[in-house]
Parts: sequence; C-alpha cells; structure tokens
Amino acid sequence: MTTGVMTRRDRRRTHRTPWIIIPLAIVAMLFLVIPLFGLLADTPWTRLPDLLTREVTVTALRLSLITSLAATGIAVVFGVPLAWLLARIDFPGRPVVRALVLLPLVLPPVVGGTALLTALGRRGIIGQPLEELTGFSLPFTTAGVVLAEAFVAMPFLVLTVEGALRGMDRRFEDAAMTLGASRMRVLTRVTLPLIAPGLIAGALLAWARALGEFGATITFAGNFPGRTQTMPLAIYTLLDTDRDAAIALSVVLLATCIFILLILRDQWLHPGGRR
Amino acid sequence: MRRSRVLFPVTRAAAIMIVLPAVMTTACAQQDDDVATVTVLAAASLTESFTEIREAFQEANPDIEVEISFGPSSGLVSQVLEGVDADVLATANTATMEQAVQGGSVQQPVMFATNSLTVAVPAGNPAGIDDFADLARPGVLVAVCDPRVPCGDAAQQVMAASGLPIEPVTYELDVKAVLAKVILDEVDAGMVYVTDVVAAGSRVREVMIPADMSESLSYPIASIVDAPQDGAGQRFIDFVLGEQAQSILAADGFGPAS
Amino acid sequence: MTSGAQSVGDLDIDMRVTRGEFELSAALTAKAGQVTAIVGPNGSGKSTLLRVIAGLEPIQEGHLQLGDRVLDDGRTTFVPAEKRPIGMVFQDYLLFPHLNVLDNIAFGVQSRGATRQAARKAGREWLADFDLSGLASRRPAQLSGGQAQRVALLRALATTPEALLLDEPLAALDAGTKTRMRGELSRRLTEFPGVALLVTHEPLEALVLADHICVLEGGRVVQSGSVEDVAARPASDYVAALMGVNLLRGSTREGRMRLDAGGELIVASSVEGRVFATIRPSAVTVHQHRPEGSARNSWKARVEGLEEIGDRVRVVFAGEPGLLVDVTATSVATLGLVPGASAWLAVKATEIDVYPAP
Repeated sequence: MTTGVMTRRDRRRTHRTPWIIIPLAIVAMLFLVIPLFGLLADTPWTRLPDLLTREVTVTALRLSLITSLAATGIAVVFGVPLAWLLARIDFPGRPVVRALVLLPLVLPPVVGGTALLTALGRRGIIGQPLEELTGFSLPFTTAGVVLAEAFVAMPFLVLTVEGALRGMDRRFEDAAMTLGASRMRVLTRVTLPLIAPGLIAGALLAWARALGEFGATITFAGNFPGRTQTMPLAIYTLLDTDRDAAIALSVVLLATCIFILLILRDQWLHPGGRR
Repeated sequence: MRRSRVLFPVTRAAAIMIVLPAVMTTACAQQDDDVATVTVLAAASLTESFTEIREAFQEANPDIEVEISFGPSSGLVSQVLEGVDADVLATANTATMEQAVQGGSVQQPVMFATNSLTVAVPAGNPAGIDDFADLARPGVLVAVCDPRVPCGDAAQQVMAASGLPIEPVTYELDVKAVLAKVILDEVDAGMVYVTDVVAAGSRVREVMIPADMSESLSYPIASIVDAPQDGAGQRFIDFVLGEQAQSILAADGFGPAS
Repeated sequence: MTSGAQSVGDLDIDMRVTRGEFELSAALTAKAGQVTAIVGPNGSGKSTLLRVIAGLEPIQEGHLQLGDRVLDDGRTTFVPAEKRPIGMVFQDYLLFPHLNVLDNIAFGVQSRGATRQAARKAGREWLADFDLSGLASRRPAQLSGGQAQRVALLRALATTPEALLLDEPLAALDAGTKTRMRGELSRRLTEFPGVALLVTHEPLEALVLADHICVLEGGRVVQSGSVEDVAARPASDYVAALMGVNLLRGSTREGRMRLDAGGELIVASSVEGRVFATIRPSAVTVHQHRPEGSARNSWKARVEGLEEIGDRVRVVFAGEPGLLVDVTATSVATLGLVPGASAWLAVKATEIDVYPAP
C-alpha cells in the first residue's frame, strides 16, 4: 500500500484493517453474487408473465408456499418447546440430544430423506404400524412434503430460539411471578415477547430453508405435480427440457428468498446484542 | 513494519499457490503423454454395464484410462450442449441424443444396444401384482420416471398404449430412483428397464409388459465434437461396439442394437 | 387508592437454605406496618433471603409464615411465588420493556384475575394517585431513573400485597435523585400497612427508611433491633463500619479497659468483663504533642490514610488502639497529617460507650 494522501474519511474507515482483507472480501462477494446476476441476465423477462402463469409453475408455486408455511408452523409449534427443553432444563445427555437435534443442519438432504423413509415410510419403524392401523402412509403425499421440509427446517428454529432463551434476562420472569402470573402467563406475556426477535428470525430462516428443500422432499415424498412437486423439484425437472421456465421459477424463488433475508434484520440474529 | 509483516507471508503463500500447481500440471502432463484419459458421459441405466466394460477396456488398453460420469440422459445432454470437457456421450434413447446432434455437439451417433421397459415389484410382492393390468388397481402405488427422461417418456407411451387407467404416485428424476423405491418397498411397482431388474437380482421380481404395449429404446453412442481425446474416445466407442462389450451388455439384459 | 381492607400479618421466618457451599440460616420477624432493613456485606445472603420470601426459591428446612398463613414449611407446603401476596421491587426495576408504563402496572392486577379493562382502570388510578399520569403511555426505556423507580414501586403496590420486598431500590440512581427519592420512598413505606422489607447496603438509607434493622453476615443474622440500638451497640465490625463508628473489643476491670488489639483505655462505665466499646470518629481529638486537658486517654498513633467525607476528612490511624478520626481539612494541614506522620490522639472516658460483648 503506497503512502499516498489519505483523506480523513479513509482513515476512519480502513484504520486497523489489514490490507489483504479487502481484495479477499471482494473476491468472496463476487463469487457469491455473480451467479445471481448471471441468473438475472439469462432471465427471459419478456416471457416472464406467460411462463409464470403456466399451470406447472403456478401449481409448483402454490404447493411450495403451502408446504413451506405449514412446515414452518410445525417447526414453531414443536421447535419452541424443544428449544426450551435444551435451554432451561438440565437433563443427563443434554449435549448429545442437542447434537442429534441439530444433525439435519449438516446432513445431506438426500440422507435426511432416506432416514425419513426408514422411519416414516411405508415399511418404516413408525410408518408401518401407522399404515396397518390407519391405512394412511406419508410418502407421496403433500403431508409427506411438509414433514420432509419440517425435518430440515426445524433445527434452524431450535438453534435460534435456544440462543434467544439463553440470552434473555430471566429475572423478568421472576418479576412476573411476583406479580402473580402463572407459569403459562409468564410464558405468553413475558418470555415469548422478550425472545420475539429471535423467534421471528428462526421462523424466517426455517421458512427459507423449507422453501428451498429438494433432496429430502424428492427422496421421501417423490415428485408429482400438484401434490409433491415443489418449486425446487419443478425447476430441476424443467431445467433440461424447458430452460426458460426453469429460470423463471428460479427467479421467483430467488426473489422470495431475498425478500425473506432482507426483512431478517441483523439485530434479530444476535439476541441481546446491539445492531 | 506492520506492512512487511503481513506482506511477506502473503507473498510467500501466493508464490507457493502459483508455482505448485504449475509444477504439478507439468509433471502430470508428462504423465499424460503416457496415459490418455477418456471422459465418458453415460445414461444412468448403463451404470453396471459400462463399469464392467470400462474394466475390460482398460485391461485391453493399458495406455488409456476411462472416467465415466453417470446421470439422467437429459442432464448429460445439457452438459454437452454447454460445452463440458468430455469425449464420449451415451444416452438411453435417440430423442435425447438428437438434441445433442442438433446442437452440433456430437458427431454421427451409432446404436450399440437396446433396452426395454418392464415392471419391477418388491421381492415379496406384497401388493400381489401378477400381471401388468394389476398396476391399474385402485390403491396400488406405482412409480415411473419423469416424462422428460427416456425411461419416463417410454413409460408414458406404454401406459398410453395399454389404455389402462394407471396413475403413478411419483415421477422420479431417474430410473435408479424408481428402482430404489421398489427395492425399499415404498411403492408396489415401478417401471424400470430390463437391465435394472437384472442388476437388482433377488431384491425385485419382474412383471412383464405385454409385447404389444412394450417399448424398446435404442441406445446411441457418439463422439463429442472437439473432444480433448478424440482418438482414444473413438477407440472406446469401437470397443463398445465390439464382441467383448456386447456380451457384457447382453449378460446385463440389454438387447442387441437394432 | 384502590386498596380495600387488607388483612395484614407479620412475616415470620426461621429457615435454612443451602446453595452449593453457601448456607443461609436466618430467623427474623418483620412486623406489619414497620419497615425492616436487611443490611449486610456482599455475599451475605440478602438477595437469597428476599428470593426465598418472594417464593422464587424454596427453603430446605424451617418455616416461612405471613400472618397465619404458612408459605413454606420446608417439607410439603410450598406456596409458589405467583400465589403469594407479596410484591417485589427489584434493583434494576425490571419493568417489562415490551409494555408501556400503564400495562406494566396493570400486569399484576390482570394476572390476579381482573379483565384487561379493569386492570388498566386500576392502573390509571394508581398513576393518578402518585401524580404520574403523564407517563402512562411511555415505554420503560423512555423513563428517567427516578421515574422508573416509582413505576416499579407502583407496579408492586398495584396488586395490594400484604408484604413488600425492596431489593436495593435506590442503588441505581445518581446521588441527587437518590436523596429526593429517599424522602418520597420513606413516605410511601410509612403509608404501606403491611410488612416492608428493604435490602440495602447504604447506612443512610437504613437510618432514614427503616424502623428496624437486621444485619446479615455470612448467611447468619448477627444483629437485629431498632436502628438506634444497632447504631449504639454494633455487634460486629461490619455494623460498626456501616454505622460509621469505631468498634473496640476487650475486657474491663475497675474502670480500665484492656483492648484485645493492644492498649488500654480509661472508661466511665461500670460494666465488667468482656465488652465492646464504640467511639464516634468525631469524638476523638488530634494533637501534635501529648495533650494536656480533661481527656483521660491519650496515645501516639500513626496516619495510615485519609478520606474526604463531605467537608470533613476521615483519617485512619494505626496505633494502640487504631481509630477512624474525623477532622477538618484545616487541621490536616496544621497538624501535617500525611501517611506515615505521627500525632497524638485523645478521647474522653465519657465519650467511650461500653457495653457487654454480644
């Protein structure tokens, strides 16, 4: 770095940053962003309205929205209590349970889908008795899609909410108790509002993950338009045969995810921390 | 003082990063002069056969190494159209190969095998599928390939020709996925290739498709235009058309090129 | 005011709680209508005591009773915090940040069964009573320290508790606000008909606000009594320091007190045997040479340290005995009182308060 003339603003901005950081960071940024621009450049903008109103795209879109929202709902309803258990209750083997519960985060999705088959498939440990008792089996159903998406999405929620619960000041709960609030009331009127940012962040992350899920969905629920063909599956099947439609769908998915991440403000990801 | 502390290790690292690969590629390039590597893209249904053929070819041609990438035919064709660095393309039907031909990416294809569609059921046949018509029974779970891959396209034609109200529950992305679901007993029946049934052995049972509805697929193989290993690639293709490879294909359930 | 007739009883505790290596074993009675201050050094168990009374923690042995209602008997009976008619004001107030002032105050009322509307109405009345109506729609983050303190107090009072616990209620305030709030808090506590327990480490607070003091040290009650009694007869060094007096230990015989720490003093007391003696820092005079005069006790001492307290200077003397002495700044200069310097101390026998060792 030449010692040229630096303005005062330069000084403040780059002071203390080792110079190598800047070019490396720029490379990283380009690496992550250029493919997205490539996608946008390839988009058949003029044909977009036509492509997006076709039945295959509309069906996939609608199915994706319904299943991802349902999966997020499941993640919240069951994930929050699990996060509570991991954050508040000390039981033997807690670290092991936490590691197992977070496994879907790092597991290849196809492995996750196969695992779901062995448990909930027609011949699965639980799936088989379920089918024998009720005649209902999960694979190849929309419910199966919801479960596959919930499987990969829930750990995100558990992780964020557990962090939020650990980071909150529990004395607020003490205060609420001295004011006469029952345990349930403390939860709903004090604890949940206080961890709301973390909860929302976790739900948004879970939703984004559920929307993008592919491997577990196709392995567990299969691929059937209108029933189990979510957007990522539709994109994949269209890629070789109707590329424009695939790109159009990709752009929609991309826009949705950008939207989700934009409203996911940084402060919600760091409970208790400053912006 | 601070600058040189950062700069020195960085330049050192950069130097290593630039020099080492250069050294290695020249070293490997020297090796490359001794052994040519042929890259083959082959349809998923050729997995078992081409793996065997590869072994036999390499034994007969010690100066050539073969690397095979298996996948759905439509996906492979896309890659070729994009300009992937491969030498040979073998697909599971002529329609997909035709796309490559029209794209100007391959030279004149040659037929080397045929395959036909059949129905596989799980080993125990729990749903009691005895003939093709049983696939139309209500409550029977049938898996087929997505219509955009050769296996799926053939399945559509079979189902149309049969006139039966067969409703698959899933359109899998390649034939191996269909086979997997049958083996796992997650579906009652799946439309796969004869070769897949042979490969699965005792894990599945076969239910024949009546001859008048059956679909046969011709497998073409072609040399990719501007391939890095033109000559070696052609030798591989010739081998596939030769007696040894053909008997391997036959043993795996393929029919002769028609 | 929305308080109706309240049954008020005394708070009676005799209990033991162990947390890890720390054991709190305390027995005290706090009378209704009185303010009892609990003082003690850090780690003495004051907060634990309050938490136990509030019901946030159970006792292991003993009993805890409010009026004629047993709240915790260490065995089968344990009334959880939400069912105890006890309100608490926390050191950093802990006003719910996601609710405005009115909803904070209404929280307790609503928790005890009132509808949202009724609770808010009650809240507004309380606010008006305390002359804080303007704050109703503000968020806790928008309140000043003094305002937050009053709202926290209001929030606890709004549930008309039978007992009120205050954990260092003025600690978070700056000096000026503290002085103002002390007076107001004193008024409010006097009005409160139930038991009021106040934890503090500031002697002035205890003196101003409390009728009764209970000293907790190392998990045990070492002294309890009226403020005047405790100040006059401190039972430990901590209490003496708290009250700002010198505490000496020794034994007397025929008007002479032999000090444990060395030295002898002539005292005007007839108490014999093991004794404690207190000397106020302002009762000691400092001289450059051995003083003549009516003081029967004089000895040489060495300056160890100096501390400014208001417009006086508190000098720490080492000697037989060593004492804290208050002098004017001028005297410090005139006498040349710097660390290491020597001087003569004198104190009259009548200024030495002797009492039997507790």
